[in-house]
Amino acid sequence: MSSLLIVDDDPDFASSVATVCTGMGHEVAIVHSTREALNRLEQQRPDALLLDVMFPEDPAAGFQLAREVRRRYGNLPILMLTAVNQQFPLGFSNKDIDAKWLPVTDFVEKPVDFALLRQKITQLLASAAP
Amino acid sequence: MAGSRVTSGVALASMLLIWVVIWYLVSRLASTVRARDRALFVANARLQASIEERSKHMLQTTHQLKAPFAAIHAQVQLLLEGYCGVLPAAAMGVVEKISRRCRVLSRQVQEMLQLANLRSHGQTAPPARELALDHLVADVIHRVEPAAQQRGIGFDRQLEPVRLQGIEDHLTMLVDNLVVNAVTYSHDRGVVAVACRRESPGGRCWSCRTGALAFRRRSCRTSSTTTIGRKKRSSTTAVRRGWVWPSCVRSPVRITSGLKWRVRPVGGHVSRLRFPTRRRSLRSARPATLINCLLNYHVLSSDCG
Repeated sequence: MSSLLIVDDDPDFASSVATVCTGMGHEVAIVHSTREALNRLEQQRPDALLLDVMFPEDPAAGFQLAREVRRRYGNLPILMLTAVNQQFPLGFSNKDIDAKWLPVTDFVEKPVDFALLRQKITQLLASAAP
Repeated sequence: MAGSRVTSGVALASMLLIWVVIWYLVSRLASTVRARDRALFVANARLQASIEERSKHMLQTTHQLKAPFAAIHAQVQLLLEGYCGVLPAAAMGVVEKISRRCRVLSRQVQEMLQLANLRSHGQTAPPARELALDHLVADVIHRVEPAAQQRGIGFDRQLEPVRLQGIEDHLTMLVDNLVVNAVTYSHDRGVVAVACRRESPGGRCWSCRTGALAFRRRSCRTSSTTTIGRKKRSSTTAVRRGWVWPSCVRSPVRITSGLKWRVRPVGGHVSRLRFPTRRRSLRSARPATLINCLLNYHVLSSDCG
């Protein structure tokens, strides 16, 4: 069993993802802002982070949090759940994963297909395993 | 003598008068044109600013729309996958319908995002590079396949390795649009044939052929062929009425050297794209052409319900 932290401002979406993760046997915590996420990470470090991109306070807060997490906590696996279209040129895609600019482990595009989400989480945790 | 002097004086005066009148009229006209030009310039600048503002607003709104759809989609999946207990068959049917509608709306929101993105001026033009058309088409089919399977529609793939130079995002949108429309207009349990091949060894063009078995609409009563070249734009009733894949009426004109639709009531319809090879790259494809492609596709989608 692994512990996951979901950071998403939409409580309905976050709780749905949490249900799936719990169904996979993981322990899940939800926070709805990047500030809460940093506070939570100070207290307890999860095995992986499921992170949204756009937050009401800042449309790119997810990116900033990812950079901050990477700076503070090293290689904590981050799965970015984003409503920003990856396949067309809105600014970023899997190809843009970069240690400095976009330090995430993988992307899943919203609306999320749960089969894909389960697969990505499994891969994410496997990649983090020592 | 005096009479002739007077006459020539009068003639001179009238000539001068005419010149003065002409000069006055011309200068008046010129100043009016200049004033109109200035007004037009100002109006144009305001229009441009309002278009940009509208695009920004649309982008923001569509982002805001996408989040609730993502939440609905997630919750529907919870129901369908049994996380909330087993649903009765009737309830399952209703939830599946909600799920389908949700997917369609999410897709439209996504296309609006792409549209807004294409219209934004702040972005540099995406780079053209060498692309594997067969892989690109296969990816599109993979994405569309789940929706096609719900209506029992299968794909007949004949994808030979074809490489071309182009802008990946634009080409993906174009192929995606063609394949989605082929599925939309196919009969239930039909077959959509998608082929991608080099037309002849050493030939000058490649083609991507997408054919669906038939229209669902009763409007297809006669056979017709519509060809759109680089300069010519089709304005046939068939195209304008919307049952001949209007998604690409304008879009491929700058992208391809030719687009051809063949429509038969029984045999279905075939759309064929010919891609330029060496001289004409897809680099010249302007976002505006793709905007039309997406706009028309929206009309199609809502039309088909």
